[in-house]
Amino acid sequence: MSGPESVATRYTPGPWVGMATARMWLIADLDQHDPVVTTCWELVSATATVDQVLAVLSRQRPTHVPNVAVARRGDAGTEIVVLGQAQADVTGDASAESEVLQLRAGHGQVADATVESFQAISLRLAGHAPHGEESTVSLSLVSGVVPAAVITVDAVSGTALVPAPVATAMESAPADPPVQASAPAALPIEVSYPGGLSAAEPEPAAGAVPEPGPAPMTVPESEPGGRFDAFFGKTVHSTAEQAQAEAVPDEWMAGMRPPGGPLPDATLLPPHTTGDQWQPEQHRVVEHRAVQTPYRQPAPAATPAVGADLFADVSWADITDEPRPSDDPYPIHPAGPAGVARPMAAMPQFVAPSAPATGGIDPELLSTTRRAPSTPPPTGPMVVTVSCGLSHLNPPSAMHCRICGGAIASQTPQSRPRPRLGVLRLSTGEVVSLDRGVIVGRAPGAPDDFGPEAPYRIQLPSPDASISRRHVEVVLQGWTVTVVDLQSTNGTQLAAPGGVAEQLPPGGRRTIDDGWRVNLDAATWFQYEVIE
Amino acid sequence: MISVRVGTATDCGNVRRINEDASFTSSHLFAVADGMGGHAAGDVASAIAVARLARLAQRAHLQPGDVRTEVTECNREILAAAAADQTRSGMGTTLAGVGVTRLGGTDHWVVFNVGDSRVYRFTDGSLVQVTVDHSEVAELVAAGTIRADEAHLHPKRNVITRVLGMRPDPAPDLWVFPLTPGERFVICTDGLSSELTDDQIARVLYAEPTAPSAAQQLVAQAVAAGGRDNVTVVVVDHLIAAADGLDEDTLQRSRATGATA
Ligand SMILES: [Zn+2]
Repeated sequence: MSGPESVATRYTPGPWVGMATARMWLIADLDQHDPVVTTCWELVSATATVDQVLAVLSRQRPTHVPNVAVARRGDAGTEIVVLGQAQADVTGDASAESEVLQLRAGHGQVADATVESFQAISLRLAGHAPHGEESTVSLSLVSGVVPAAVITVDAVSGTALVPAPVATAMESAPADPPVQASAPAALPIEVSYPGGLSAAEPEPAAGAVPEPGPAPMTVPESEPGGRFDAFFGKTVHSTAEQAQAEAVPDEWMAGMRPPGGPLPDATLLPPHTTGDQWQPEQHRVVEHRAVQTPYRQPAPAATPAVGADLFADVSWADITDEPRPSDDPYPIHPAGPAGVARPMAAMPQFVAPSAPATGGIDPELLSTTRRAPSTPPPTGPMVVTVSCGLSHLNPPSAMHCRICGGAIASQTPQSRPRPRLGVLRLSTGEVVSLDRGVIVGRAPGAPDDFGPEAPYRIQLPSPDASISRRHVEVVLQGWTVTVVDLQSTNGTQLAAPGGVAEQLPPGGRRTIDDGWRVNLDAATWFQYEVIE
Repeated sequence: MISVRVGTATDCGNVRRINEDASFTSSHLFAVADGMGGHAAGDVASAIAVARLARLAQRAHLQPGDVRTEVTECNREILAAAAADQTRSGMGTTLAGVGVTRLGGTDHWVVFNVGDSRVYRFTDGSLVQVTVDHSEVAELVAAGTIRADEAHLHPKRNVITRVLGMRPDPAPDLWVFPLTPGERFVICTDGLSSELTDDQIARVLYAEPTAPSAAQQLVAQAVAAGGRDNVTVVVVDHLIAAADGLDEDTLQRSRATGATA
């Protein structure tokens, strides 16, 4: 194998899925719970070809190809491919350390390069801070799946690494693909294939601009048709030798066979025909689980997600600068809790990260990754609304905004969670928000039952006890604010702004509007004000 | 000034390695926060939340709207902290608590929550849940899709729908009501409510005379029942003070003032 004799992998913990073996590294913006993580790891741990890994990632979810950066050491050098919003930085060997090959693609695009040797490779997803601006924590990883922000591979010359305990699948991995014709490249260089998801016809890949240069890296010339087009439904020309070499081993592809037929050699390679017979649903059906809601730790009885199996098996470390002291107040339970997924039989044993990691299995790794919903679910009552130019919600009949007074254009009303209808300003100076109803009295007490719409209970002083314990209630119904006398002893008075006070008899009710004042006795009142 | 006695207890539980819960108590504001996010970021989020509450507790006259504002500010602080450090991306926290707010010249409780941490109220031997969980299963119960007694077994009982650390800003739910001497509040993370039934909680509250002993006993029983999550409990006893005369009958205004109504 050319290139560095040995490598050391490190990773910065983060939100993405990172994978590493002694020969292959990957970072992708997969949902950590997604079952495709398992499939992908099966391929990576078996040192499948880059094409095979990308094929799995793109074909299993044809509507959403994740952003991926992957590197693979082979006999011909180290192949680096980025797909979509991803980036790979490759530093040359020690004599040319300052030279960096940067691979970036773009949405739905692929960029790749093969280097004979390297000092360091870092794989990351685009749009995230360079290393210096993010967590400085860097953890060692020999082999496994981790939640990562960056995967870094450093060449270790003349030093024997701890043998990577990769499963025997690695030994049965297919042979490396034939060496691509390559040319020396000037650095830095960007290589980009335009084979986007929407690309409809094959065209020669552009963008590779090999130029003579002193760098020890090489970039392969682009191939006619684009070798990644297959992921996006295009016909790709590949040689029979390539197909043979990269045929997918049965043992880890069995689950992906189409029903009722043998697996063609070029299943995951660019087929000689169009890929039409390979509809995604013919492959193993892998549901894409929405991540709209945050997840709690699964209960012990629950069947853990396949992806959770993987992660639960992976060593993990705290994101703290200091190693956890040995008198850890939260000791690891070595046997593993009942609710923690057990390692899958086919999985290799993982090696605990070295310092500063403290190692150990963290069962909460995934289970506490509870993502917030993109929008809060509607709570409380819904109302039909129209909006002013400032997006204030108004009743559908409104001509002018109740908040800002602006005109309301003609529009289709929409059902929305009811905004608060304003406030009650108390004679004592405080305001009570009208996001729900209010009961006012001398001693309204606590409700027997609460619940999502339990009215606020506001106690107002009444030294002469002329106010009843539960005197008056403000009821919200849709957009309407209604005052209901609660069979008070002395009744309720109310008045429109500038209007004459009217008596609400015990048990009486009256709809009120902005500026109305409600008196419980001569000195005690509240006023309804429509504000945002 | 109200008279309270407070007890707090927390335990990492039998499964988790890190306690991402946090709690805060002062003379008139009490809360728990249940951090989430893995990567040890959950404890950062819950710490931000309780630090916010500590700031809120310094206000002379807490208003319900202050709680709402502080929750929004807290959400933005957590989002900013998560954006500033990728290892904390996606972190969040629940928040539930009880505070004393002054309305109409009188002390009231303001109970608030975001997420599935809870506030219970215990009076005269009966336990009532004040807060409504922001969880999928609570919404299913509210919608009548499932019965409340099925919720404990529902596969989605652990999916929460509102959390500090999400966009757009989640609003807290608030409940406001006057004080009742002798009442007791339990503020807890779901590590308690997922391990003990309401009846089990009520039995402990009935048996334990003081807030500290009740908090400790609740946590101990939750851990003994499985302890599958961090569990944190704050118990607030509103001590019985002198009679305040609120239970007098309403007087006819003519009697009360001598004037004609
Ligand atoms: Zn407006």
